[in-house]
Amino acid sequence: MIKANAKSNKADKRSGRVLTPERLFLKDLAQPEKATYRTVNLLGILIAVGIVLQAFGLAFVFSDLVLNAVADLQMLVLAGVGFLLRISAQYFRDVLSASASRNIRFSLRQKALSHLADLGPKRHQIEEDAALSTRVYEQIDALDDFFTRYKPQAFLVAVIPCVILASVVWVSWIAFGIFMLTAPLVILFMILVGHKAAQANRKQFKVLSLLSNQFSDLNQGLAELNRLGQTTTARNRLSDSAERYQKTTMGVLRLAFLSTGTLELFASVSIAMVALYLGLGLLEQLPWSVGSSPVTLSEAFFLLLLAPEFYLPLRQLGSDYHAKQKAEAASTDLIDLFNVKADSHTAAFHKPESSLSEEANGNDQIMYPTFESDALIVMRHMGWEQAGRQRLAPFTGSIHEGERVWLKGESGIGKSSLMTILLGFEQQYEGSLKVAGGELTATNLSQWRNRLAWIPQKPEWVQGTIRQNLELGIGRCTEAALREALIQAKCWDFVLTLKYGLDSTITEAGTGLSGGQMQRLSIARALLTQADIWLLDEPCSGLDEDTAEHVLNTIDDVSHGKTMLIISHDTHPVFWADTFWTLTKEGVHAKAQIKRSYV
Amino acid sequence: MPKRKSNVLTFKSLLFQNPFGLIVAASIGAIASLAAVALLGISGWFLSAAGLAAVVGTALTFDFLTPGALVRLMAILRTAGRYGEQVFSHDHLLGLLRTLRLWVWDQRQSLPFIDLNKQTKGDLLQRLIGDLDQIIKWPLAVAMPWLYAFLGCIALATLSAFIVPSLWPWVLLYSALQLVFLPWLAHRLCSVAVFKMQALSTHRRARFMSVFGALITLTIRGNWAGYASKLKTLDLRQKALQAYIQKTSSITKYLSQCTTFALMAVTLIQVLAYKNDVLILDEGVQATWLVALLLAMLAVNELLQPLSNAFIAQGQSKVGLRRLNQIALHDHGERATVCKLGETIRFDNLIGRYQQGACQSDLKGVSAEIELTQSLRIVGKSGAGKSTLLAALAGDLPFSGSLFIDDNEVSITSNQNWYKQVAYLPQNPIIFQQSLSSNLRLGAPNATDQELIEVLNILGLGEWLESLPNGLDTLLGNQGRDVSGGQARRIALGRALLRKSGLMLLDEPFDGLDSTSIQRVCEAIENNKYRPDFLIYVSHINSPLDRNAMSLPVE
Repeated sequence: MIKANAKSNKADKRSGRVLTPERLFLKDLAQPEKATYRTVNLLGILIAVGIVLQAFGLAFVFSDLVLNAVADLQMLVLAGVGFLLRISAQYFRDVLSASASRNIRFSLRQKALSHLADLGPKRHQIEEDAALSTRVYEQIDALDDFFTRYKPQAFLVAVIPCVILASVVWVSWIAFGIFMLTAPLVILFMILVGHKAAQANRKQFKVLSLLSNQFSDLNQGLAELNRLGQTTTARNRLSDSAERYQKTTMGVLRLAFLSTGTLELFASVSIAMVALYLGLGLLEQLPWSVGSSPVTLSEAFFLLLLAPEFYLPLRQLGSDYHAKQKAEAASTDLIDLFNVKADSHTAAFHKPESSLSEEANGNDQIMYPTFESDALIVMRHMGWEQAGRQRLAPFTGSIHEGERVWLKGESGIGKSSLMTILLGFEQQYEGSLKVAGGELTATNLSQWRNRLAWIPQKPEWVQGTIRQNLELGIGRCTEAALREALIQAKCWDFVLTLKYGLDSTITEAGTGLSGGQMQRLSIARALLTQADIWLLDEPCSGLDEDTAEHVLNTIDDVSHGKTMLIISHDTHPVFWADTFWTLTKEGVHAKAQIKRSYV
Repeated sequence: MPKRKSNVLTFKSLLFQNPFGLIVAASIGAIASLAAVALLGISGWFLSAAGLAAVVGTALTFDFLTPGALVRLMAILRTAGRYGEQVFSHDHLLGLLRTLRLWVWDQRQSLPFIDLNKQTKGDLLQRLIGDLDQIIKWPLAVAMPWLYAFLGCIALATLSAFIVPSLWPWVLLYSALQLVFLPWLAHRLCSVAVFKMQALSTHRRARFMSVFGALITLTIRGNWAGYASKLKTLDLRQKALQAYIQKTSSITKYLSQCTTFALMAVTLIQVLAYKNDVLILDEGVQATWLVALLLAMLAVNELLQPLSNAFIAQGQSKVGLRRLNQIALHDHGERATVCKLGETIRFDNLIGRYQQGACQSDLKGVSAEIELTQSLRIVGKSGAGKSTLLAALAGDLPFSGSLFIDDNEVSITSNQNWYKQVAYLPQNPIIFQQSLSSNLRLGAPNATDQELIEVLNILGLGEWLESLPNGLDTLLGNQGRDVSGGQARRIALGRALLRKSGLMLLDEPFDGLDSTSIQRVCEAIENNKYRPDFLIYVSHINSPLDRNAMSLPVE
């Protein structure tokens, strides 16, 4: 794979036409809009025909005007039709390709959103939510120019010169010859424009993102710089690096532009030379054929009008090149995003094999906790491997109804992964997981999830009032129910002291509520859901000892009779749990907890 | 109304940010544009004249050198001009970006902490950065294309006045339609939509963050679908807006081309007469020049194309400018008051507060006095306001109550003079995407490498430092080496130690440190090297510092 990549990179340099993963991704995206793009391409052909008709009509009108001071109505109409055909085709082409791009982008976005939702907690393997939102919105929109401009243009580049050549051959062999001679130049153009423009774009892209990154970084830390009295230094830093980069980039850009510029000059001059040649030819002054004219005036005009059009699509493609660049950069990030899921499928593929081997030699090593096959949650040789990395070593254990289990283990041993599986966000686990008597599958998943309450390390909050957050996902609650839950979770007192009580807002920038208070609110929320199975993932980390103890006590008070799995470090011991599990690489060590009373 | 006008950004000020660069870029661009028009016009004339000369028999006397040279000159001018425009406009763009960024920096740097914090934590900062990228395109996407189109129209009017004098009102009408009416129409039809689109994308992002922040809760409650569909609705509205704007832009382009078509038709109607089934050219009009004029019209038509998209950039820049101006400083005449540490610091009934958010009316004010060389440990439950108190003492947060230095009441909030004397380790320390040494030297710009290494050793980062191939020059943060939360805390603590300020404020300095490191840090603080005159700290971990510290309970 890597070898193939290196190879394709090499080939890429030569031909510029090998499919990198990014190109493949973009190609696949365009697939559903194939029909639209076919129409767009057809319209491109119409544009080419329009160009030729317009040039043909105008050429005859002009030569008639000049030579005979008359105009042929038919030719005028032909030129007019050509012009209108061209602009109408252009209009429809614009509209169609823009709508194709919209369809592609917005359906991709839906796909990305539901993909992220499916990933659940695993989405953070890719990035933080803020960065993910940038991918889902900005990066996907960065594909726009590629689908509206670059893709149709890439077709036009091939079509227009061909149509022009094909039409010229009927009018003048010499004209055909001139264009044929410049055709290799066109290909040379393609390659050089592609490379140089790509180079310039890449450089510019890199510099701009570097500068923008620095600006954003220093701005994030402006408060700290302010405290340290370093704002002026930082300002100078910003200013200096911007200036320095401006200088070096301009050096590179100047060269890059120069190379495309030289080629454009070549094109311009060759058009001018065509004009000059035609002029001299008409005057019968050509050194090699003095006294005879190789072309008629109308032919000359035809050629003159078509010559710029012959090169125009290429120049356009060159300037649209950054659209491609941008799209490919964005694709890299988007491919990453979709890859996270693909990995777990690979794991699923290996599933039978690894669970078999586990069956074969795992039995002696695993220490079973009390194992009842009729318990509420039964895990048998359950493990999770993702992309070759073991996230959770296979283990066996069971939790019966009403049992409260304290789970601990080294960091990275897979405690959170176990939660992910129990929450139903990872179904490619090895072994078996039976809940309420049945294997956890897509069919009983929502039923299972309905019984769950989930309290993570950082409680999940949406922007809105405390009330909205408590009712999140449950729907309207009565005032009495809210009050009851808040009193049980010991939130009632501090909520009362808030100026707007339950209608105080929880915002991104903070609430003025402490970590312990926030955690209590999430206990209240769990109570409101009437869920009978509670999953808690380090609910007390980040709280100081006293607060943690109080929060744990509250959890104890409210969770009698509930089935519970609580992850907590030694620093915050859960003395009241019925069972105490230690998760290790070998499996789970379980022991019944000797309940200590606490006062 | 803003007092200092110079602080507010307008489109005019964008043009005058770097007038020289813009003028150079614009004039080169203008030359290139006019040369493109002239190239087609002259070539047309040249061919016609040559063809005519050949027929009339004056071919031998026809001066083909001058027009030939002109054609070549125009070709070269056009290309060189395009090249020059590209170079200069990119240069100008980078310069403008720099100026605008510094403008944003200047507006923000004198903001009090609390506003700064609000800007940084929300997505305002992200939006500002996005807006800047939008705004710098304005001269290139709006101002310059319009200028070129304007010049093209003038050239056309001049040319037509010579060739077909009766045509000038039509050219004038054409110019008015193309330069004023169509852009105005597009702007009128779309400015609301462009504005909505901008607002919607901010809204959509906030919604995404909020909903995804509660993804698991919503999923296990089984109503994720409902929330996701709201997100989808927002997206579909965005799609509809985009479609509307794009359609308007395409129609404008179409109309603009049709206008050119009409102008050419009018020109021909003006000069042709229909007699005996033939269209005959008017006597007064020279056919060769007429051809040049018609070709010039086609060339101007090409110049006008970018205008049909300009209204989008115009609208976006307008929104961007408006948002940027929200952070423009209006009065910033306050001078930092003098406050110098002395023998004692005393605070009475102090409660730090975030101006907005839930008010914590249940917090009691805190009073204490600390003398030179003494230290104070603030203890209390979480949520009692320990960190807030420390932040207020650091000058970050406003507070109620009063603070005295040697019995003189001083105002310390956002006071630069106060900052100078304080070394503060905040709750969430910040590591910049700079080298390790630059990060540390923010505390002490003149510190030697040896001092930096010493501090890192004290903090137990010595081994880590040795494992870094680039040592102190290692780039930290996203672009370089990621540091863990614990490492970040320690580096920030190192920065605070290096400051060697009179007053040291530490918020949980020992979080993530092993006991040996805690020992060493305490030794460093208690020994003369890094010893502050006053030390106030919050820590839930007991440390040797506590032996000499007074305890201040906060409830």
